[in-house]
Amino acid sequence: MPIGRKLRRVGLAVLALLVVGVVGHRVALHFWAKHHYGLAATALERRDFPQARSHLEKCLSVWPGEPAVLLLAAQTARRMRDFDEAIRYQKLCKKKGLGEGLEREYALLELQEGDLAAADWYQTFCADHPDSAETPLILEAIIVGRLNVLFPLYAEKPAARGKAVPGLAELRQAVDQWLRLRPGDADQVQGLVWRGRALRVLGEHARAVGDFREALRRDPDHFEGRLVLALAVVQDAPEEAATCFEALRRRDPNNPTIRLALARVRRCLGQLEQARKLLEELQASRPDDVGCLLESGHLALDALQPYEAERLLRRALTLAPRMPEIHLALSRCLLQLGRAREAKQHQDLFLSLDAERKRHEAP
Amino acid sequence: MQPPPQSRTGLWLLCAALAAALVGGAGYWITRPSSPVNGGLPPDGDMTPVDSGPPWFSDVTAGSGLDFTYRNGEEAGQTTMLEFLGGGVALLDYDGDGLLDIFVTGGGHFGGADRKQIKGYPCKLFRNLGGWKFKDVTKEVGLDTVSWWYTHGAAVADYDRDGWPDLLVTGYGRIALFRNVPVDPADPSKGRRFEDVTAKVGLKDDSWSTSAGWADLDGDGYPDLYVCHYLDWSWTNNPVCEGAGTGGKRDVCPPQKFKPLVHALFRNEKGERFREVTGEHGFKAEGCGLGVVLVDVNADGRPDIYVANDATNNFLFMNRGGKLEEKGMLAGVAVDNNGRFNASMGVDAADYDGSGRPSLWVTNFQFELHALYRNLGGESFDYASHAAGMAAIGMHRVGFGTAFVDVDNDGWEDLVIANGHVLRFPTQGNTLPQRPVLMRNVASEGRRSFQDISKRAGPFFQEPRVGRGVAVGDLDNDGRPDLVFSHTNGPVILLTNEAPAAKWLGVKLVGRDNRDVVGSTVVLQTDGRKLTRFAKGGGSYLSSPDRRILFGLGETGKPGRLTVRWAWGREESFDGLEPGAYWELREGNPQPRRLDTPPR
Repeated sequence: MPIGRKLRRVGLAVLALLVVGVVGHRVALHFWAKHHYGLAATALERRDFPQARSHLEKCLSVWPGEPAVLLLAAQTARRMRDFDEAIRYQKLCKKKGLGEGLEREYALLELQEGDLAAADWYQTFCADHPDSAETPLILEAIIVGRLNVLFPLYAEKPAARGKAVPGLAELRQAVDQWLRLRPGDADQVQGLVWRGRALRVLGEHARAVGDFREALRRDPDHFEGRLVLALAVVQDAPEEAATCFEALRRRDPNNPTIRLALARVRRCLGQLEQARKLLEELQASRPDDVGCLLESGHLALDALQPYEAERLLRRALTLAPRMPEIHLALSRCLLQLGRAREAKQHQDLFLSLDAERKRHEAP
Repeated sequence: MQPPPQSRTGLWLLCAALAAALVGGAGYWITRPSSPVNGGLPPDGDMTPVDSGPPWFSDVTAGSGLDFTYRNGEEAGQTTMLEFLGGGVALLDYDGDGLLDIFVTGGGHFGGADRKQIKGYPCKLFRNLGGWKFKDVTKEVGLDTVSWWYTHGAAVADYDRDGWPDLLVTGYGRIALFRNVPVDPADPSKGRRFEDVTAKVGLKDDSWSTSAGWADLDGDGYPDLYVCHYLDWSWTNNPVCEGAGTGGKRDVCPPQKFKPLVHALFRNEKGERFREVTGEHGFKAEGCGLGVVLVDVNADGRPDIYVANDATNNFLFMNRGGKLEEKGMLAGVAVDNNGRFNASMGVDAADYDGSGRPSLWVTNFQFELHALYRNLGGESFDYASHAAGMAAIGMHRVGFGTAFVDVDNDGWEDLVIANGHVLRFPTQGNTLPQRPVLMRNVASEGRRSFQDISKRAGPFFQEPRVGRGVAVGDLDNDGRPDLVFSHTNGPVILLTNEAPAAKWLGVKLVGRDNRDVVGSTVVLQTDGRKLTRFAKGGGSYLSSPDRRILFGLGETGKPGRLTVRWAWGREESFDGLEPGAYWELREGNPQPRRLDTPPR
């Protein structure tokens, strides 16, 4: 056989192999992406949003322009409260020309952030269309949005309490519907946590704590459940709250709110050394955090270290000169230092700033 | 037969290794670096676990003869403000037999067709017969003929300086002073009785009085009287309040619905007359007063007054040589660490931290931390509830009667709190009856803090009740302080202290010519420690404790010199006091007298 022909055959074979390889690779990638898409869906069933996002990102590395995946990624980011990421995905969806689904996603983001202008309309939709595939997603956004307004996640207590609180009845209705529609374990646990938070707005503290405890019995790692239980029992059972905050800190070691809350509980329990360690770590990473400076000031006062307290509180005062609590703490500090006249000045400032704040807060 | 050479070598090697290990271990033991405890702070010597073991208090009410219940008349369904205050307990040795007797207020009810006639239930006096037996002697002492009104509190002092404790009773619309007099002046063996001298001494108070306290505020030797007034509730000012958790049912109103009343200060004019002098001090003591303690807070030898108010700022009246100056806010004891007034009820003062100064302690409402104001000296206090670990008991209880009491005689004063809600339908999972609390004063991180030991305290502390008054006193003279609790619509409970035995020393201060001793400070030097105690007036809630002073000396403590800084007087020292007994210390007499205490 002439050499040229031989070479051509070899070339063809190589080419064929290449084509097969490329096609095979593409097919394999497709299946890999599909596999991750499936895993993302499973993770979403478990409400494991970080895992779902991780799978979706892998999926998008293969299908970067796939609108359905982009939309799901936007939803997932929203549901895990990463609103910047949600908006980024929404923009990508828009570039791909996604229409109706994206419009709804815009609306759900607004709802979830606490803009409840369309909440009643959507809630009516859910009531009228309980079997719609969209209903659970909408309900979730409504519930989270209403809770954001009535009782933000990290708040120790709701802004207002009682059955007459506007929006509470609708919130409870939405949660009840959620619990009826979503029988899966993860969704039931989440529903119990939401119901507990709604009960706290209602003033049904014991029932709320009961819901939180039941949720944690079913899923001991439920972050939100552990957090709201800690905040609910911080006054009645601070030791238990401290244990909860410790568990949360292990899960999310860099969360400054949790570290500060834990430090505060430790201080309230008289465990000043443990509180000090936490606050020192926090201050190192957030030197201008007024809450941390104030808490550190209180800690120094509890430990009868007024000079250190004054340093911390003066620094806090430069950052937030009209915060009444700093003036009050400074007044306590100056009393410890025997500077009664200055203490009185800050006491008076506290009273006037506090009264001013109450006037603003009054309906 | 000898072992093979290899075996012997092995044995030697083993022995050598063991010896080396022993020497090394011993060397390490001797030279080891001392491990820091709590970051190098002093060791927590008394953090002994006390969770298990026999209970420290036993309920001996049953069979004691102390059978009494304070009643508030709630069955009339009026749900008035009157009903939630409850009643108190006064401990006094009215007959001078060396055993503390128990006086309890009766409360009241609503009579008439419209159930709007406010009537009183009788108060009772129980004589201590010893051996934990009590006898109702109300009739014998002449208190059965008193036309009782709706009563709350009792306060004890020798107002006329005759050496016998007299009794003041407070309540709605009236107070009464009962003078302790002999049944037969010619025959002391016939015992004592009480005579109502209220009108005779011009003691007129038709307001709503709660806690009261005695102390010589002007230095004339006669105890003056501070009476807390509550608020302006009456049938003509009786709003209907719906409780937050009642589902539309009526509940007790919050105090903010009413105006606080001006408290009363009565000057004792030589034990013959009382003159109200509130207005003469240039201040207006206006607050919903519920608790008062009189003690020398600034070591100037004069009794000062601290008042716990419900839903208004607490007062601290500094005694400026007979003139009073209100300094609550400036001193840092009027409000909590959030700058807010609390709903304060019970109150006491003690040197809980070994500073030699009396810190102030106040029990508060649900969702408020009980307030411990650490005395920094210089009429300055610091809010120390957090540093002292008070938050550990939670904020779901409503605290009333309270007292510093060294229950285990370790020389550190612990805290007892009677709890019970005021609302019939409390919210947030709370209940009207609540468990009392006992907190032990322990060392922690180099300072003093309080640890909840209610589990060890005994079954009484596990059972919810509507607690109100509590009085501390050594009812069996064994040197271990016992407790008497009053409850609303529940029996008075008598608890005997059965904490592990420790050494103790008791003193009874007697002022020159029986002048009042409240405001005196007593310092006992022991092995390496200085224990400071205070002669106090008032204290707790609606109640009056044993006025003798107990020093717990621990297991090995030996009393040294005891120094009394007499109120309005000089300093005197007493030596040679043996532990395990009560000693009478008379002002001006350097010789302490060992008191004969009747058999237990």
